[in-house]
Amino acid sequence: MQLIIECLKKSFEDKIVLKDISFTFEKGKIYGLLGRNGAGKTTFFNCLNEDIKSDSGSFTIVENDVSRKLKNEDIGYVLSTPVVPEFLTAKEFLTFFIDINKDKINMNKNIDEYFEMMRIDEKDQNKLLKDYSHGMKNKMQMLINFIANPSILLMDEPLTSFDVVVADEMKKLLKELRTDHIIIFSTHIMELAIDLCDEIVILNDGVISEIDKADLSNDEFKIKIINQLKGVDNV
Amino acid sequence: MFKVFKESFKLQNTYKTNSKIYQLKQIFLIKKMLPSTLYANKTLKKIMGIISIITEICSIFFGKIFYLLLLIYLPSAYLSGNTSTNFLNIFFFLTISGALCNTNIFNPTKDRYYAMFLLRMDANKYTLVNYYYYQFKLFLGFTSISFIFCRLMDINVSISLIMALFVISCKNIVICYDLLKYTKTGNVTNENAPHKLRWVAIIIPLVLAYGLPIINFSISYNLFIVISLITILLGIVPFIYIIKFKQYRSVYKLLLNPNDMSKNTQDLVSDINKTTSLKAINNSVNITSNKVGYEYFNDIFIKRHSNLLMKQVNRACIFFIVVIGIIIAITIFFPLLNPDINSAIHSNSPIFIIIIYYANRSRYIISAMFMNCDHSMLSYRFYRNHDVIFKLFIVRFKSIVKIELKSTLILALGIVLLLFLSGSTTNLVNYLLLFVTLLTISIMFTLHSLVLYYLFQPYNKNLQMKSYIFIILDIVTFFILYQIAFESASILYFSTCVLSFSLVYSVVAICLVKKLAPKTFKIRN
Repeated sequence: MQLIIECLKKSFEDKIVLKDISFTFEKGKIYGLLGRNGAGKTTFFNCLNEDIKSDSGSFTIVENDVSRKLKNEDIGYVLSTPVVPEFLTAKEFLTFFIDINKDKINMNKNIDEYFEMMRIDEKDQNKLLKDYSHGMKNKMQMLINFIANPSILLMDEPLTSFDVVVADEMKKLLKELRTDHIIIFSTHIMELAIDLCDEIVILNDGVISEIDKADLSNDEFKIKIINQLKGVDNV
Repeated sequence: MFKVFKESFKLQNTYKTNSKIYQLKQIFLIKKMLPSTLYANKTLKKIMGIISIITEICSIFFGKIFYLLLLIYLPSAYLSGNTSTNFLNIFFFLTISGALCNTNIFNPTKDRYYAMFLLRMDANKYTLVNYYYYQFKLFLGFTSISFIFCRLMDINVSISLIMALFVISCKNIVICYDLLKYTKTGNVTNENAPHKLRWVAIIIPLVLAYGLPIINFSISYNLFIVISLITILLGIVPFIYIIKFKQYRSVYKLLLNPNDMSKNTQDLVSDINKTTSLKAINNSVNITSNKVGYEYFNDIFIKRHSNLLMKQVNRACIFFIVVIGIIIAITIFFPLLNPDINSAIHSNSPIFIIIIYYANRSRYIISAMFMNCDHSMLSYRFYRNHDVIFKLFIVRFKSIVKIELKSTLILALGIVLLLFLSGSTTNLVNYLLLFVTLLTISIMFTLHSLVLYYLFQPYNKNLQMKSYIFIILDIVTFFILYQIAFESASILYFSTCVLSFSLVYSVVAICLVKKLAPKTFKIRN
């Protein structure tokens, strides 16, 4: 499966944020999306998730040589600021979510196992989501997306709010998930990107480009990425 | 000191200039024509800077003109007794009230945060320089403007000088008291959020300001001079204390919360909206529902917001019961009025449109739906699915109608009963028509509110209303209803119009929601 983005453009007033992006993402890989502050990473995700309307461009899924338009159920989006229905308890939210998606999702665990997977204990399961911390809300948001199992997962700086134990488990989980998914993962932590991701793509000056690691060591690769982000040609 | 004043003035002027450009960029239609590089435009910055200085100069005088004219002179002239003594009385007590709630020093403004904590300017010097400047403006403004009013009322013009110094001294005394309190307790109060006792202290002089002239007991001219002069003398020591006080940085550390200061106005508004809406959620986790899917989701929402939703509806119910109860009592104890009541119901039934409009709380329910539910859920793509949107629309419509019908049912039954008690009707169908029509109106308002919400979802991610069309449609709806409400019409005619319109509107509205809501029901940018 491939996600093909063609000629994606987005401007806000007279500021061009995404400048004619064309890129192909492939299944089985975690893409680390890097970019400087304000480069447009969240805008890129928002356009893909249709939270905002792109000025132009198309998103196509190619599966078994058949092309089709990107559909709602293809994408799961984990926002950097997690949003969950705060009037529900975690258990109610999960019950509701599983209930409305029971025909679409392949339930290989029961509710308790899902909570266990995210290390959410029973006391917290019955707590209103409005009383959850940022990290806990993020866990719920991630869990929902894992259960929905969309073929493309957009993750906007998802691990920064987790404690080190959960972050490590999440990394393992994402590595397991990659075989059947396209995971696009934005972060500012370069070590995390290099450690977790199969490909590093940078969003610079409104354009996405892939950085080839080739035979470089991690340190050399880091320098290469930073130079690219600075707009300096590789040394 | 002059250097600090220069830097402080420059900083404040830059802040005000940028705020003015920002305000300019918020104006509907104009904002689209303005480039994002506006803040870098030097000419515009100069123009805005000059406007800021002119505004600053004007504020010294215009603020005082409005204050002395609207709050003091006009009430003095309007109240019985001597205008000049009324004027001095109101001025005297309002000054005390004002000193307690407006000292300038305890007002935690953003420019103070920037100067003291971000730019690390000397907090003591910065505070004092600004306070001197504030006092200078007060002195200049009050002396010159009260001079004019004194001339107008034939009061000795030297009083204007005493008035200005009295204002400054009162503020000095209050500031000194608050600083002393800080040194003793370590607590300091934001003057924009006074505590209960301070409120009482503010309100008492406010009542005396206008209350004494009402009972012809204004303080005399001589008494005003004596008390003012004593206050001015007493204000010298506090002034020295304020100058010598060295802990302004610690005071402002308490007053200026970095979390609030780092946010812009939009974020603060968003925070307030968010906090308010979250408070509406019932914290009980024992609430359950035996429904499934979206019915379950909506049912839990309604139950967790029952306090908010039912409180408003219950108020409407009580209002209707009381009013209808009174009119029923009139029909029983004053039967002579029955023909008038009967005729009013027969020919003025359109008035119920506006009554039900006011009683209908669906707009508030919908607002809560966005704040505590759709705001987060709309970021999930499954929630924006065509079928899901329409399914939830129907589920919500049914549940809001159920809530709203409670009060309308009381109104409809009450009106039908009133019609019967006040002399009945020639056509018995009128009872049924009136009953059904009133319920239909309520259902239509719910449908209308929900349709507007789904077709023009007006909120952005900061929980702010951002759709002009939504606001205009709301106003237009009210205007049309207001026009209809005061028309005369028989029950038959009124009911026929309402029921036919409702039928057509419902079909069109539901079709529009089904077709357009998948595109329109989303968070505004």
